[in-house]
Amino acid sequence: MTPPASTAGNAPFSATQASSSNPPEGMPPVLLGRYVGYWFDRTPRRALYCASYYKFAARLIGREQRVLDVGCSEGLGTWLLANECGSALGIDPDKAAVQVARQNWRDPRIEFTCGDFLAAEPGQYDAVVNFDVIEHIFPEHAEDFLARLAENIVADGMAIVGTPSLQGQAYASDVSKAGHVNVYSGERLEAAMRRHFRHVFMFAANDEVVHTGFLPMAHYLIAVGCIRRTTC
Amino acid sequence: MTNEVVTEIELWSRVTDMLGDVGKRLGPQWSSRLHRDPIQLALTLAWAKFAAKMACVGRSVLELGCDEGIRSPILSEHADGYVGLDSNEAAIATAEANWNSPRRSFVVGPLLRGPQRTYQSVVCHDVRSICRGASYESLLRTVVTHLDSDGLCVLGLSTSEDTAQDDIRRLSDACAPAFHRVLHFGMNDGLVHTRCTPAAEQVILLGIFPQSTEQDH
Repeated sequence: MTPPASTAGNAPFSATQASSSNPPEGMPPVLLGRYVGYWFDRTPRRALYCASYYKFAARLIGREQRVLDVGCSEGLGTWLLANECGSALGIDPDKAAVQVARQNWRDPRIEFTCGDFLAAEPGQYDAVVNFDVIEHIFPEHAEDFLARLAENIVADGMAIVGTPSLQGQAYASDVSKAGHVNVYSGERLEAAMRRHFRHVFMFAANDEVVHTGFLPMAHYLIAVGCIRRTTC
Repeated sequence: MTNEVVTEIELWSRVTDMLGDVGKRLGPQWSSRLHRDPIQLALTLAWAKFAAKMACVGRSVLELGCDEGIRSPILSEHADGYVGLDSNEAAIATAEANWNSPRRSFVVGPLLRGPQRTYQSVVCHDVRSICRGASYESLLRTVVTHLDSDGLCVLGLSTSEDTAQDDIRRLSDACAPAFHRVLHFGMNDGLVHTRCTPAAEQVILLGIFPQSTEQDH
């Protein structure tokens, strides 16, 4: 990379430090595909929110865990989970997004599968995560989707489901709304999760901040399900 | 539309068709950071959102040390123009390739040179990265000369080193005479709060209305 330019008589001030910032050997430049690229161009704070929710999930899940990321898209969040938790498998039906993910994140701790989660058999994981997925699942398939989440975790596993809130839809973009066919209120999401998990903890999110405040005023909902009911 | 849709996958393909082709290739600095610690993206964008809300809405903005421009989409989203300045040519080339737009531009240049114009706001994500060994007073002189009389500035300071306490005091001392009022914030794990101590991973100072700079010229 080009060395820092001279500061022309202002020696104490250096350029942005570059010497320690080269990608690790064998690591490719990170590509932002059309999905994440669109965020940055049109709704740049969305990238912040998504990364923050994945960070929240990673911290809850903890270390040395195998994590399944359903609807991984371009895999940035999957990589965060793999890096923080131990290992991760991302699954998404979007071929172009999975291609970007595979190109970006080449590491023994991470894998990607292109396919339909409802028809796949990804296996048993310590935790399953999905953000911005269930609102794209038709209501008549949502119970199957949640059941599949529960089936793909170990008995004492954890499922984290994040979705835009019903109340937040008034402010959603046309592109977002075009794909939303099943938007949840906090109450409905909690009730749905309780059918599959013995303990459900509800979190609200406003922008990048995840909290335990009043759910109807959250723009985003995160439900954490623990201990799947099929083990009862 | 939903009457025609038979599967969720078909519905999703219709959404992605609306996105266009806006792919980007990040430069070596941010590629490296994302490979090593992807949480860094959330942290730097959280800082950018705070700075944008405090000082960028409807204002002309200069980002000192813009690096590869990753914060520029948020900083410029509701700004009246954004200029990113960095002395690293390669970083600016990456920024231009990815983030140039009618409301954003990037300039290679020494960070201490006097301004070609002034701005309503100056922001700097990490004064430590651009101010290695130099006094914070020198930095503040640069910031103030870049600012309009009703200007605002947002300065971030990483506190991850042992010298955090001293660094915070020196930056605060440099800011105090440079602005009519300075607000102090801390940031931990991407959350901004009002506990501006070494316990914060980053401190953020918001300078409001520069004091006269006549004595500095």
